[in-house]
Formats: sequence, C-alpha cells, structure tokens
Amino acid sequence: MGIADAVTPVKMVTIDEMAQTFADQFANITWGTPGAEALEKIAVTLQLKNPLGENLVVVERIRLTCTAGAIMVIAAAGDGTVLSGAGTEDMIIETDAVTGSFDLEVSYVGALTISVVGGGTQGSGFVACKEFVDCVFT
Amino acid sequence: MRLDGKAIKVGSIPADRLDPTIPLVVSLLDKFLVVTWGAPAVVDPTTQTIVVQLVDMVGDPVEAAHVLRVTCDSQADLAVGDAGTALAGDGTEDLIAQTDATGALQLVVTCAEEVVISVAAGPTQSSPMLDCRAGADVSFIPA
Repeated sequence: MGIADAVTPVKMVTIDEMAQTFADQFANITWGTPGAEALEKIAVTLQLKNPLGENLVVVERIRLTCTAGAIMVIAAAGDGTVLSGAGTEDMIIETDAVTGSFDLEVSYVGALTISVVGGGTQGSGFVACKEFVDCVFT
Repeated sequence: MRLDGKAIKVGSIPADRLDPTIPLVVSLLDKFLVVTWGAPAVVDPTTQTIVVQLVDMVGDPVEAAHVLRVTCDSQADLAVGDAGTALAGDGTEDLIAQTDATGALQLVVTCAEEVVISVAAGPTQSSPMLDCRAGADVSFIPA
C-alpha cells in the first residue's frame, strides 16, 4: 500500500458532501431588514438558514417574543403559520414548508425600538437563535 | 525519511487512520441529541406510560442523563415513572425532568377524559442541543 492508497479515503469524502448533509440538520434564524413603519406596523421576515448560510427550506417551530407593549401577528398573505399567541408579545410559529421563512408584522403605538427574538420551544429541532431584530418605531 | 512515501507504514499518518465509513461528524454525534418516543403502554383506563429515549443523529441511543421539558394537553398530567428523575412539575402538564443514565425517561400520563393527549418535548435550562420535532399522541379513547 502506497501513500496514494492511504489518502484515497480522504479524497472520497468531499467537504461539500459532508457539509451539506450535516449542515441541513441545523437551522439558524436570520432576519431580513425591517420594512418602513406604516400605520404603526413594521413587517420583517424571518428566514431559516443552514450553517453554510444557505436558505433552509423546512418547517421549524419557533417561539418569538418581543419588547413589552408591542404585539406580533403574521403579515397578511405572509408565509408561515401561527400556532399560538397571535396578537401578543409571545407567539409560537412554524416556518413555511416551501420557503423556510415566516413573515412577521410587529405593531406598536408610540416611539420605541422593539426587539424581536426567537427561541427553541416544544417541538423544535436544532435551532440557533442568536440573531435578533430591532424594529424602530418613530 | 524518504520523501517518496515508501517508508510510511499503514496507520502511521492521520489520513491513513481515517475510516472512510465513519465521517468526521461522528465525533460530534453525542453533542446533538434527538428525542424519540416509544409506544404508549396501557396501565389502566386512565393511566398510560410512554418512554422517551435520547438518540444521536444516526439513531443510536445516547447513554447519558440530560434535562428536558415535557408538556401535554391540559386535560392530562405527567409524572416520571421508573426511568428518569422529576426536577419540577411532577404530576402536572408541564414537567421538567432528567433522563436516567441510559438516556431514557419513562413518563406516566394520567387522564380522566376519553381524548387523545399530545405530548411534546423541548429544551429548557441545562438542556443540550435537542431535536424535539417528534412528539407523541397518547389515546385514552376506549378501543
């Protein structure tokens, strides 16, 4: 057996092959740029991504909470599903099966920066929720 | 040392020691746990047991004690049975419990109504990375 035979197994398993299979087991919450405030509402989209930064198209259960005083609902005709807590500051949602996203609408009367954070909950998979979003109401 | 590789013995370099059947993620498997559910077992008309088993991402049991939160529909109560330890909420619909050293947690589900009770697990304080997408239904509807 020569050196070429010794390294063959390494060459047989590419980084891309391993990373894709493995990476798609893990969801990262990312947020788009919040839209402009209109009628005391701001829309923002949550998108799941894998650790490689690619959109992850899966249904994932996530708990969303926001700064007290604001409320959250799914945007009109938006992607995703609300399981509980619509119209409150503590909502459990599922991302859309086709896009892996959830279209959120945050409402607040007054001038305040409303922070929205996600988290794992009952029925969640592997979800990293370190990223949050601020919606600035003026 | 010869530079043509002829002096290198099998197993002498890291690349040579890699088993191509074992991807690198094996070393991470016990860091990412998946909640699985056994079949409910009837104790009496208002009591059933069901076992949660932690497995790794390839389905092998993870023999370690870990904390998880288990909740169910409000008509039922959850308690820890022969496997695992209740940490909080024993006998309620919102239980925080620890699996035993084999990664198993036996739940005792009690319900006086003839309904199907959904049971879900989730992470909580001190939980590892948990995949809790699978839940369980326990039927108290007479056959």
